[in-house]
Amino acid sequence: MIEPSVAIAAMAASILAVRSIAFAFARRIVLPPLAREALELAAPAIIASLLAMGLVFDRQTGAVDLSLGNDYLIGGLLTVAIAYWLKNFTLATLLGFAAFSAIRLLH
Amino acid sequence: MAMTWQDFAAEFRVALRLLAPFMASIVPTAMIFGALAVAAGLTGLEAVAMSGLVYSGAAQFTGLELVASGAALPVIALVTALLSLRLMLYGIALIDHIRPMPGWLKAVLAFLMVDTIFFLAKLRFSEPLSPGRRNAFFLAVSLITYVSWLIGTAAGVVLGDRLAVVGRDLGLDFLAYACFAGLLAPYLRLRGGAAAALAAAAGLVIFRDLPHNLGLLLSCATAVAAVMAGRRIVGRRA
Repeated sequence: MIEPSVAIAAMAASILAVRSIAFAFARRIVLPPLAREALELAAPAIIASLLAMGLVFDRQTGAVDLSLGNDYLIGGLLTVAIAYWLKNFTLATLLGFAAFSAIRLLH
Repeated sequence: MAMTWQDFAAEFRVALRLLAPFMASIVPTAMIFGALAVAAGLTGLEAVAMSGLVYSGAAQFTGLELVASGAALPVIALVTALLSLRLMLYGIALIDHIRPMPGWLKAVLAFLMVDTIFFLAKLRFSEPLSPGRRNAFFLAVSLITYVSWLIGTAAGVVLGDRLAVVGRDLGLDFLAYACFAGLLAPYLRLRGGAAAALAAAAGLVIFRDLPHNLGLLLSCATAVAAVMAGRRIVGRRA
């Protein structure tokens, strides 16, 4: 096994190099319109992927579960709907959590 | 352009309010990491150092597995880089806000960029704010998240993951998804936003077995390309 401190140093250097690119070259990076369009669409795509990763799969079996019995999925969709109408992020997430808890109690 | 203490104090409060629901998932996740790290043979100090220096949930959990399984150093470094590619994209997507920042702020924020920061910055920057207030928000939200991650890790080292497991039994892990759901909603009003979200979610189901978050990147890339191609096809017909 590699010495953990060496592995931590390697990981720290690696992640800093990648995540700081935009900050280091901010003055030189000029985004063409095509790249801007792609990045605008990337934001909802990344959030939806992160959501799908946590909500679509059964927690025990790992199988795709799109049924009404999937509390996480139904709770997530309800939260999106609440946030869409409410336009208040903090309140919407808390109401979404309340809806999820209610669904869990019903099941 | 300069950020005043008044800016920072005001935006610190806004950041706390927006981060509140995230905290219920950030701190327990860090606690689980701290507990797992100690169980994997790291000292408490090494666990906290990993949170402090690597500072990325995905990279840390994966890194822990790689170290425990005896992976070679170049593999660990490469996987970490792959896992952080989307953090680079976040920076590029915020480039217009980053460009005018003072150098010291760029250096600090480059180190502190994680998912939550990007999406909350996008949310906050959709409101009319002076550059000073924008910088203050960016810094406040980044510092609060970072300190919470460190405190959570230290708590996990000391207490183990028992509290985090109790939280999961109560369904508190759903709060992380509630946060992302709340963040997704405004994008559904944008042209192509709903299509990109649906396509990416479908793509993730298809690509999820790919290693090291590649499924996440591939599902997003495919969704964005599909929506952009669709726009052009529809535009040509119109």
